[in-house]
Amino acid sequence: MENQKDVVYVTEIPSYLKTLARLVARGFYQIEDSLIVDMLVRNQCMKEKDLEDLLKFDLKLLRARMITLKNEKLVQVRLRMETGPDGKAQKMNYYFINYKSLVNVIKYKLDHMRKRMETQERDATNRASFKCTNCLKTFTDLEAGELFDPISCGYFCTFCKQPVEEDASAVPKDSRLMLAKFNEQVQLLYDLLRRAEDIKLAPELLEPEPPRNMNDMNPNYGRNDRGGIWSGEATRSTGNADTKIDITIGDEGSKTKREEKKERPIWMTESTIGDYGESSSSSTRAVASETTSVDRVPREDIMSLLMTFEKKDGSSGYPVIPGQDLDGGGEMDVAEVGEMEDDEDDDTNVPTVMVGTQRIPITDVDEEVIAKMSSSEQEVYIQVCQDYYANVLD
Amino acid sequence: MFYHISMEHEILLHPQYFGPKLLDTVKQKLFTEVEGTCTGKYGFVIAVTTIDKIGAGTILPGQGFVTYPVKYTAIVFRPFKGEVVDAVVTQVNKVGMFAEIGPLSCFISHHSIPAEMEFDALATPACYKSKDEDIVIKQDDEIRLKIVGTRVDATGIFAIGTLMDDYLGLISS
Repeated sequence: MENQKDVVYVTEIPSYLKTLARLVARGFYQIEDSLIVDMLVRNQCMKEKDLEDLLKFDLKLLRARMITLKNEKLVQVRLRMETGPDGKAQKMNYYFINYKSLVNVIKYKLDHMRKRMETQERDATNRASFKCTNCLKTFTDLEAGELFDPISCGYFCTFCKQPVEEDASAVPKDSRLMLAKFNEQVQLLYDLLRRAEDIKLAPELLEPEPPRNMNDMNPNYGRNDRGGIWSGEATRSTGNADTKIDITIGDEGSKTKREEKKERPIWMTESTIGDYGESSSSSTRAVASETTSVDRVPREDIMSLLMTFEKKDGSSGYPVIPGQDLDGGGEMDVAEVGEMEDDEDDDTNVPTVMVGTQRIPITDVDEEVIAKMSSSEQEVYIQVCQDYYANVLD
Repeated sequence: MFYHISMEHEILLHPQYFGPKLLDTVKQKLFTEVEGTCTGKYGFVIAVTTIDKIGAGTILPGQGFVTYPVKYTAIVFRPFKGEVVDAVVTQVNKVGMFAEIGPLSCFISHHSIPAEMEFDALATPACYKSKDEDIVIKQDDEIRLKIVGTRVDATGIFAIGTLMDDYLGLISS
């Protein structure tokens, strides 16, 4: 669809990257964080105020969560100076997800987790699992060989020769199972990361620009209208179900304000081949309703328009060669030009030409009739005659 | 893991062996001094396969002893963490079991024995067995284990192992 211009870059964020961001936020962060990430997944670049309004978060809370997410490198921020409704310049924070760095961050963190577990596993082999009952000296599993006395089949302290007992307080966590469980649980993330391995996201996706009409600070811009503004912007490029929902909200609230960048014509969204009524009705569901209602033309109108052009073409005098009319179909009946009545193999049938409104067999055409003909009709007559006599001579 | 590598050793020979069979004595001494030893770097020297070069001997002043630098090739066994090896159980008790992988002895803590295997002190000999007594590990049984740690000291290597992984445990012949 959109990556026709540039085949090297992926110009639409793949769904698995979105899933990845959501899964990570939900799995490893607080619910507030995951809600923020959800919003930023849905809308590429969001103003702080919009986030605050949509999520119904206190600004302090939002900023605190944003700091966490920024430190975790999940979310990035862009500062922009904007003119407020009072005419004063003010700084606005726009948040977005840089999916490239997100993937790297996730990989890095997962690797860290795995390393830590491996360290734990290693430490577990060095844990003090034996303790002398007398001198309280501790021994690890690795020293078990030294402690063991094969004659008495007991364990004795290497220092004081007193019996050694197992240290019950040092029961190890099963680190082996922990690592296996970890691998099993993050398998989904690894799968998603693997899919994201070879893709190159377009720069405008990695560093999305804030929506242009965010600057449009007219008085109506506020809580009630926010949905229309940002959601239309963010979902414009996507053709999913969200588009429909968001545009509907926008139509209700801010019809006048919303400026569509580019209307998608019907032929892009729907096949124009087939039933007109069906395609136009289904296309209106996908395309913004206000504009498509103008574009939508009933079937009768189109047909009459086509007929008009058809007639024009006919009067311009395109010859109809016998044999072509076999393929021509029903539409050719409306043409004024002369045509063979039937197939050319039948010698008994004499072709006719149209002169004015009359259909005259060419054997009956005399000079008077020729004089009546228009220049285009004459041309047709000559053509038909040539073909006819050629057939006769053969 | 086994390696076939070139190594060097110095043989110190008493003057009494100086004579027509000197080199044979050097070779014999090399076998007895090297085979069965253990170094931290190369592990256990299992067997000398070829003696590549016996260098010129040097008489030690004031003693009369001669040192021969010898280059030889030997098969060595160096255990690694994570390696899966076959072993023979030598001792079973409630804290675990000991097993031998050739020259290497290995301890398997009962924490590293699958939970479904329980120690049975009353059985003769003492053993670890599963609940349905399907699997019984006792002395002299062959088991497959994974080395989870090694300790190298001056005289040898000691390992600890685990049976808690896929395809580990009793080798049913």
